[in-house]
Amino acid sequence: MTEIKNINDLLGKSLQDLKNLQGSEKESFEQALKDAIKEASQVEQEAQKAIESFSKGELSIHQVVLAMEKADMTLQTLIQVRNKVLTAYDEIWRMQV
Amino acid sequence: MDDSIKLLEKIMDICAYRQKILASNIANADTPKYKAKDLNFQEELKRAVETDEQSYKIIEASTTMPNRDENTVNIEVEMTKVAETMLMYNTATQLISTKIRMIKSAVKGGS
Repeated sequence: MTEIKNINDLLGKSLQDLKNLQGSEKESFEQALKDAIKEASQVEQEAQKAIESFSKGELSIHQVVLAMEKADMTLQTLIQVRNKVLTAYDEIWRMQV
Repeated sequence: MDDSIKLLEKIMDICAYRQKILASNIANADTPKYKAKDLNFQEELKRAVETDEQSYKIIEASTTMPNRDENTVNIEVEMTKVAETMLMYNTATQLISTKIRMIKSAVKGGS
C-alpha cells in the first residue's frame, strides 16, 4: 500500500527546488496515478484471495475483514482522487485563454 | 463478475442450514434415542461451490458420551456450535455488504 506521505517536505520548497528533484524523489503525476490504480486493483485481488482462504478455513475472521476493509478504503480513495482530477480537468478546459 | 459474492452466498446458505440442524438438535435434547446431527462445513462448502448443488449431506455428530435414553445431544456442545455458526454467518454478511458497497460506489462514481 502506498504510504501516506507528509506534505510538509514539499511545502517549504520553491518551484525551482521541486524542478531540481532527482531520482526516486521525482515522479510524474501520470505515473503516480497509474501506480495508484494498479495498486487498488491489486489490493482488491488480495481481498478476494482472502475470502477464498477464509472459506477454506485457512484465514481467521479478523484477517479477512481487514483485507476487505483495506480494499474498500483504497477504492473509496481512488474514486475521490479520480473525481478531483476530473474536476481539475474540467476547470482547465473552461479556462479562458 | 468475481467469485467472492457467490462464495459468500454459499457460506451463508450453509450456515443458515447448519443453524436449522442445530436448532432441531436442541429441540430434541429430551427425545429418547435421538442422535445429534451436524454437517461437515468445509466439505459441504467445497461441494456447493464445485457442483452448485443445493442439498447437503447430514452426518451424525461425534459425541462425547451418550446421555440417558441413548440420546447423544449435549446442550453445551450444541450452543458452542450455534455461536460458531452465527459468527461465520455474521462475518459473511459483513463481507458481502462491503463488497456490494464497493461495487455500488464504482458504479455511481463516488458521492
